[in-house]
Amino acid sequence: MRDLGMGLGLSSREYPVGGIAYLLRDQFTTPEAAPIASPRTCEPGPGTLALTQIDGAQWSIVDGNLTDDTSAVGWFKQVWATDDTYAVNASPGCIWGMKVPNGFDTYVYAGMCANKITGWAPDGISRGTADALNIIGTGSILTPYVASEPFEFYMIPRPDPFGHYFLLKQSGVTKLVYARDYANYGLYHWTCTGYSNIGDFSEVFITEDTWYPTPLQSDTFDRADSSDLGSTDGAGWENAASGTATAWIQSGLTDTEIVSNGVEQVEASDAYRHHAVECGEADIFISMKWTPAASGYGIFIARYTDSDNMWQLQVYNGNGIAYLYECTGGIWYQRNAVDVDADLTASPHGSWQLDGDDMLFGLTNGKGMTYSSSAHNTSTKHGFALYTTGDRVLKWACFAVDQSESIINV
Amino acid sequence: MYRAHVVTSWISGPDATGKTSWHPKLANDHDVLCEDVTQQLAANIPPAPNEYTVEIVCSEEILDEIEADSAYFVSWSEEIIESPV
Repeated sequence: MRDLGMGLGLSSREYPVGGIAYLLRDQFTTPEAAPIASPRTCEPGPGTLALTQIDGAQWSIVDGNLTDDTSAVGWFKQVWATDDTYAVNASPGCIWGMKVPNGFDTYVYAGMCANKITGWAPDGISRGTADALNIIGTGSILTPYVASEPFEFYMIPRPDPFGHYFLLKQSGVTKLVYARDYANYGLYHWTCTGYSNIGDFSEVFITEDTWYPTPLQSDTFDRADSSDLGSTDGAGWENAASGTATAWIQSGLTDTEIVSNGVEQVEASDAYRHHAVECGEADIFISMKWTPAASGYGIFIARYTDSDNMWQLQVYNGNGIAYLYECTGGIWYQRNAVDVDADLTASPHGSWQLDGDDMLFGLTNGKGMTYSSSAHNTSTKHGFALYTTGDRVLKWACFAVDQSESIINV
Repeated sequence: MYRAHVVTSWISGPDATGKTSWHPKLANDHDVLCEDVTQQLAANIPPAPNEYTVEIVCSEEILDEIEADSAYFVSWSEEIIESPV
């Protein structure tokens, strides 16, 4: 299997985080036989944890790790903060983290979620029927992740509309793997389940507000109807303006216009228009939201130089497939095509990370694709396009670009 | 389901989206989605032989069809074992 990110010269950037204040921290120092007491006073603290040990599945503490009882597998084992205090404090920039010393094997589903888990899909990151996000042993979205090696997993609440960042740190590299659209900051917990060799936790923690990836540009398109996109509004989320108003660069065959606080294409079919904006960084994490649409392509544009040189990630509602295109010198190359079960009628969010040569795309349904290329990897303009195949219904509702590469020192 | 690497030629013309692009011929001839695993720059694609390698995930039936098609070479394939969860 391709091992994206290994040996490809991934860069990293240090974000010193001095004097972290913990709301909760447990390093599971003192050995304890299964089932361990719940609620449990964290070591070294602060905070207390509640642990669910149901259906015969039990936790123990061995060698500084919270360890499962592998004699009863296949059922939930969860670690909870004991009350909503932590959820109340889960404001943007605070970090929910977990450290896994031995990795998880292929058949382990674990991660962090809000409320409870009631189901999974066989993806690297997946969402259950409740608000849940899991990391599993293997998966397309988490291609850099090596199942058998230690890793850390972070969740950082971010103001609306995109909800949360999820970061995976392994072998000294932190990847911003996903942003999700949870509307509320719920009562998160750590969880794991599986059929065999369930992974251990060496630490779980919650910090006070610390850091989240630097926003670069955003646009909600919430302005008066116009045939001109004008400039970004920097209002991509509620609590932190991102970027200064910057004029959109437009090219292509037809016009788009602002209609009812979204971007809509004027021509009915077989025409497109590119939109890009200077973001100041080539390594970015671009997120967009569709309005419900019956047909057409929702297109991300990244590393745009001009109308003949750019990358495009096209999500087609007609067949649910995401297509990756490189345009170099005016010639288009289809680099990748993955069935991501895209359903634009469900108003999904999409996120596309470009970090050095690596690309990582994901939808809110947990499906996505990866690719790697150095083409155009210094271009700092990014944006979007529309391509309708019939009815004039496809619309972008929101656009945001964050800085991509990152290391959080926890 | 099976995962396989297949050597195919590039062609220019309408792709699965109906637009003109350079894309693997394999995607036109068989019902598969292709990923370019060479990850080479467009400028570095050798014109002769016009061949490169893509990764596909497909049914055993489609894999049999591709292996029987003399236009393509399957360099390796493996069955994908689904998680029991």
